[in-house]
Amino acid sequence: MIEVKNIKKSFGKKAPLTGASFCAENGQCVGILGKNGSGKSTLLSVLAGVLPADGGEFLLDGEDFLKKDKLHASFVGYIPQGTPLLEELSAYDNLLLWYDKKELKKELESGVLKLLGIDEFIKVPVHKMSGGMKKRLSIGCAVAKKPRVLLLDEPSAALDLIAKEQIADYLRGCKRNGNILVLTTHDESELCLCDKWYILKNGVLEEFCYNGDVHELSRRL
Amino acid sequence: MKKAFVYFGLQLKRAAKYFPFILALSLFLCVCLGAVLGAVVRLDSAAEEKQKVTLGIVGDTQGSYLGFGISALQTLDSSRFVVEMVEMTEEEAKKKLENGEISAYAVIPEDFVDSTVRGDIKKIRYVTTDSAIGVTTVFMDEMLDAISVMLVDSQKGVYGLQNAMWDNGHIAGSDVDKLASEYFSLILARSNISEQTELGISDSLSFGGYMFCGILVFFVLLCGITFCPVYIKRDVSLSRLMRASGRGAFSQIFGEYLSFFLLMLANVYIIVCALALFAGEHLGFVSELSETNFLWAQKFTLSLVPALLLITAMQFLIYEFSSGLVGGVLAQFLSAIALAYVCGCLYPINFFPDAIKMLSAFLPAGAAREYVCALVGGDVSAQGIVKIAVMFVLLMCAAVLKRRQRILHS
Repeated sequence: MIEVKNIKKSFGKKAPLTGASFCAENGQCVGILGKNGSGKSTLLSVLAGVLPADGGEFLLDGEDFLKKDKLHASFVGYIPQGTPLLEELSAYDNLLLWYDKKELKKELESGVLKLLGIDEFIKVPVHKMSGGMKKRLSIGCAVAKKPRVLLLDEPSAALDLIAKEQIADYLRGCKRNGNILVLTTHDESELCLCDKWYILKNGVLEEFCYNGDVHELSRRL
Repeated sequence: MKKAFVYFGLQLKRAAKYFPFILALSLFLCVCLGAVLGAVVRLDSAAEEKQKVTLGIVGDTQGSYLGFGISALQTLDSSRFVVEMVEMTEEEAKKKLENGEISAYAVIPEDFVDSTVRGDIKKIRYVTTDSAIGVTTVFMDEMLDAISVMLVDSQKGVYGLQNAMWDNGHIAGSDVDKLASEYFSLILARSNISEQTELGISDSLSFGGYMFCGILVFFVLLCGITFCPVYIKRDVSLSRLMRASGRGAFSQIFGEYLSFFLLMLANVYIIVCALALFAGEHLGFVSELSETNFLWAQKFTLSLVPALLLITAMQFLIYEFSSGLVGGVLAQFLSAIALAYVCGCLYPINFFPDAIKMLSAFLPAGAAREYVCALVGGDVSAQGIVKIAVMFVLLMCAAVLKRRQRILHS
């Protein structure tokens, strides 16, 4: 299980995180909601190790991963909001940045990359890919080290319904395998994937129970 | 480290896709700059051959030796091919100077000869415009200075001796005349004033050699524009993901910069080879380059590596600071123009004030130009290479810090 305790982060006078805490069991998906600019992406960046935290803990099975840089990369996978890909190169070339050649071949034949359907467009240059393909490829890159925790920053933003469903299918599979998912979202369909919901407001996380009532959710945001 | 090399390989592969476009643009730039360089050198040599500096002579020129001296300069001295002296009033001279009909005028004080006889120091005053600082003006200043010093001092000497002899009851006769004629011989025998001035202008290189070095550095600076589509980052998601996986700013900059440098080196190598093979005979104006063949092109490009490292490090830093293609292209273009001008790539640095010269020496383009000039002049110093190395390290550190800042604050 993961426990995120009292995470703090500020940029000068601006403090998007003043003490964010949540926890999740293996196989659970946590949805982080909040207004634009509330600090959702900052929280994921801190948990991913991109940004240093000003304080707090990120415990995975009792070990604080914010203090273990090298282990961090092996246990936590991060999919940022943009496209973390080299646009001019093919999917295969992009994957080479994250996988060894042998490993890549294996994953394309029967592993996670096959599951994501990346083998179907392996030679296509990124700039010719659809949004869904790019997102699947981004996930493929982020899960190269088979992380136990997957942090996804708005994974289905600007995707069509089919692409959203493909991504959701993959995430359900991750949950079944015992992975812990933490995702920020504004998307109603993604909320249904989650087992726990938190609203990030004034730098802290408030847990709430989402029952499909979007109006209630909007009111609480 | 292995992953850093994989990233470098992918960056190289990515940039190689743009290389034909980069090379075509570089060739176009090279042709344009070559044409400009050719025109400048041809114009300069034509001007040196044809342009006669006209000096106005104002005031009392009727003194025996002075009149003779001026008429000797106009009729006997080799300077008559370069300098024409025309007697006129100061009002006329001012008007002609304003209209650009004369380059300057020298005012000879009314009692110049008498005061010289008395031993007073009355110098010839010369008036010129300050707007036309160039080869001609420098040459003219040198000429006037020489004329002023030589005429005044020589005549002072002759008349002083004549006075001393008279005061002591000696008759100044043929010996003094002989001495005077010796002084004039000295004046007439002086040579190479123009050559001495040129040495000062071009940092011990010929004008053609200096301009070749300057334009080469300017060309590399401009080539930074052609790489903009490859190295300007609009999205730092990949950088963030790489950092999350343990590959920080240094590792990223290493891969990207190395690929950029290698492609720039390949670009310059191809251009220099093409220059040597197809335009070698047109490089005759660079007297320092004795032979320009394929072998020379390879050696020369390899020797350019320190200068290329420095310029590419600076260009890379500009890419890091640019967030959009248009802004990046503008930043590269403007920095290329500004640095080339301030660092003496477009115009001999010796024309600039000392403060600019000092500043130029500590700018990447200035240090690179100095190195290329030293390379062409066969006088590369260890000090110059150390300076380049220090600047290179500073620029790369700045690029790493900037990348780190972008990852953390985007």
